[in-house]
Amino acid sequence: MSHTHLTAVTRFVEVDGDKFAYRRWGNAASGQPPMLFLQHFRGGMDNWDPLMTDGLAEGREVILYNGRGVASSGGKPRTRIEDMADDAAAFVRALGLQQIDLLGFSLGGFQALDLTWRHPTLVRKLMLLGTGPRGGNPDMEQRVLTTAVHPVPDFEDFLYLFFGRSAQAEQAAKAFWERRHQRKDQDPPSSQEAGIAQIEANVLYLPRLSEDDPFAYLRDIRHPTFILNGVNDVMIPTINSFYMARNMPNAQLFIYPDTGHAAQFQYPQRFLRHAAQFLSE
Amino acid sequence: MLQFKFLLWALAQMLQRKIKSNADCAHYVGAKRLVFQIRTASGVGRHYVIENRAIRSFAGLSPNAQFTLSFTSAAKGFSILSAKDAQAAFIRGVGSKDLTISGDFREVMWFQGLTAFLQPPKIVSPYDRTAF
Repeated sequence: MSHTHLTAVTRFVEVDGDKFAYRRWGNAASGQPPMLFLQHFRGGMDNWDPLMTDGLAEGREVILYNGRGVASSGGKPRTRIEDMADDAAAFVRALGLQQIDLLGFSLGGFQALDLTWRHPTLVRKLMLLGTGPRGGNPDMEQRVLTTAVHPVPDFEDFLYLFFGRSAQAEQAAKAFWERRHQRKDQDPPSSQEAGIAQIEANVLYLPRLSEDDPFAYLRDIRHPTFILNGVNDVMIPTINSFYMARNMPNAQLFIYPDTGHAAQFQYPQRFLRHAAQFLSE
Repeated sequence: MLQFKFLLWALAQMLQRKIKSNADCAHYVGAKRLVFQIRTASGVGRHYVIENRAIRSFAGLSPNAQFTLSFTSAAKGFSILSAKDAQAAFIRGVGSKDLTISGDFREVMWFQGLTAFLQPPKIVSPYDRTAF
């Protein structure tokens, strides 16, 4: 039986004594490396859009995963992005994989960038969505500070944080919200401890590695890279995507209109077309 | 050291004035209850209590602080807390480890939002003007 986002079984693999939850399905006969997804702040495997994961699974295997201490994974949540990245690399190796394509969204994008920088041979192609580099522009909107930390974020929170401000954007947000709740056995939400650990990691990601040339480290990341953001990201300012594109030698930048942090959830079909082209180049 | 101590005392005064004079700031504080402290590594510091839409501060440290900002020295603390580019100075301090943060980072984030009310309005450069 071939699985989908709604039916893929949650499995576990042990990494350094902790059990990491993951789901893996898709086209294993494609000859393409599997794609690993790294999720946003506090998010688990059911915070992805089934349209996006199943769409990408047509051309490769996809692997959703919860980092240490996140949602259904065991262990103590990490408080540093580099440790989260190393955990993800260890997870990939624990599955016996030589190479992956890597997709990171938001805080997952921080991890994806660090993973690629620290474990370059493990990654073939990199996709960075709604994210930014170390030492990037930290100017999130003030409302984010009180909204993103709600114990149980609701639709209105996600609408503000992830989507555009038009009526069409709200419709797209509602459609996404419906899709992402279709799965019956949803991953449990992350603990408050995981949220606090990830905020700490986020704060420690903000300092520049070099005051004079903060993005110099990106120039060593030569992997083919797909960068996407909405034109007005209230969480990780959109300008950070441009900083990455200007410094990563093989990066291309996509900016979608009338959207914010989660352009790929607002325009899933457009994203899939662009992603398919990038992954097949 | 004296400058640092004065700055810690003045911080509470400035925040209290802002809560009283700025409706948005008062709304931001809302029903918040928070205890935090700012100190040097050697143990000099001040703790702050936010409750009932007011902020009070006390010399010395608290065993109940929900987060602590700790500076390597009073001089470093003063230069970071009094910097014109407050947010950038704070981040540089974290990067250089002249400032270490411990405790509940959700509350640190909230406090960052509160101190933003003390900053002068951002001047948007012509290149940074957008449709939003």
